[in-house]
Amino acid sequence: MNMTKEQTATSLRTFKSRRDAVLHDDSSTFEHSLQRFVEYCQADVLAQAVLAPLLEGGEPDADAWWKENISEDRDANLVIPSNPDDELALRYEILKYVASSSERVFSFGFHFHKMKLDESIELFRTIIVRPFAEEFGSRLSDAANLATPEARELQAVPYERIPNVNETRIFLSHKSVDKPIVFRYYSALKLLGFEPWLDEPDMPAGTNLERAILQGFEESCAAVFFITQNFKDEKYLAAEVDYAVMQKRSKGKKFAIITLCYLDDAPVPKLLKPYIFKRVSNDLDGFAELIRALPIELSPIRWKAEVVRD
Amino acid sequence: MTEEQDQSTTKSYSITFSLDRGKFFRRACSSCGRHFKTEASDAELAHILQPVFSRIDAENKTMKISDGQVNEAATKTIMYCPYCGHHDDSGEMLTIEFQEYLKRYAYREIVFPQIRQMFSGLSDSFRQNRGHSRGLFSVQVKFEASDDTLPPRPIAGPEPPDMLKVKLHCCGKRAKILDGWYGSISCPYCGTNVIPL
Repeated sequence: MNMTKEQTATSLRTFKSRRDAVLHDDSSTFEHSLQRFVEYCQADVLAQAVLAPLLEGGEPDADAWWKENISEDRDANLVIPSNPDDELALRYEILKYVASSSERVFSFGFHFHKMKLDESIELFRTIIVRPFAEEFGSRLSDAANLATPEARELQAVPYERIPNVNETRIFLSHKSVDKPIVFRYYSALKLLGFEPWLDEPDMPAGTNLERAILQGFEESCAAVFFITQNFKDEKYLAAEVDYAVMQKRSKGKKFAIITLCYLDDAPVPKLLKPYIFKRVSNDLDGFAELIRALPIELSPIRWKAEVVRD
Repeated sequence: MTEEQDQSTTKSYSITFSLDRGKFFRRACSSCGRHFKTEASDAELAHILQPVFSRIDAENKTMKISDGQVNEAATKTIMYCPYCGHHDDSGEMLTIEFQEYLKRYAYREIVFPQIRQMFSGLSDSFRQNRGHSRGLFSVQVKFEASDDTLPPRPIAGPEPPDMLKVKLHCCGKRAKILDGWYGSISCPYCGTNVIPL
């Protein structure tokens, strides 16, 4: 059964409205309400998905059941099948049977010594309609759940937690000779959806190096320093340490200085020591530490576009 | 759905709520009327009923609601409409359908038995007085207490599995909003403006 969420919702809404009408509306409109309820059961796709399998083996004979149970010389006890499927099918057929002739509800009440039509209707509602409506409603709900798989939840984020587009880059500071290590981080961050800043890919030819680095820092939410035996706190690297500290002072918690130290006795610049500092034995350790220390996190899991494309 | 009566005059009622498959409860804004759903906990659901039943049975000061054990002194829970930001007591943010269900339930379980009891007493008193006046004019009044069949119990739900589930990063709870709603919403629990992503 293929139904959209809207179709199943409409079906259940119609069911509830017609069920409540047949159960609770004024008894003067009972006949009309019952017919409308039966029409829903016969015509609605979701209702038929529940009822049709019950009737596959043949519809219960409501006329025979009526003659057997509803007559003056019978006792008041009604014979109802013990099997829930058979019971539901029989109740459905009884509803159709009574909907086709308005006098039957009166004879139903008469069987229970009710002399007024209102009382007969109330009794028929309680003994036949309500148990059917309750069980049928429960099965409709199950069918609706099956027909409409739940969509993944949205993430609703407060305004103040949504960063501007130009403040979420991750500045990767390193000595040129360590480029192979840093490029592995760059690629992994890119794959995850982060926006790392690395001099080579992010600086078009002819760009002023100092200005480009400064702009890179201004657009970043973190600076990562890769400390190896090659790292020296001088020249550009010293300037990058200074810029990082400046950004930290200006942005506070929205900027992280992360130092990944690949050597036990590597010389960590004094200015970086107060910030996040981790000795790592391999890239995976370092990467985990980096992700943990970032002030940003990524949006929810989703299927890749090519996976869902026809 | 049951009614229990202990030795005092305290009555306990338990009501069936219809939740969707994610255990969300449908609500409607008391201002704009749009629907949304909130996570349902026993305590919260009990809290919904408290004002409703207090209105129905204003005399009953000791009404308790199963699971929640909420009493009239309980603090109100404010709820926010995700769409228009209107805030109101959570007991006011109910759909018309659910209000109808509660009214029918209350009529069947509380009002109808009281009416029947009242007329039953009236019938007895007429029987004792034989329905005659003894003046110049003689008027005979016949009164029979009705043994009306109780109306059928109302049924809640079923609740369709509609709307979009949203995790609210302001307070860590979840809610459901209308499909196709674009733009920011107010968190139904704390009122923070959030953007579904």
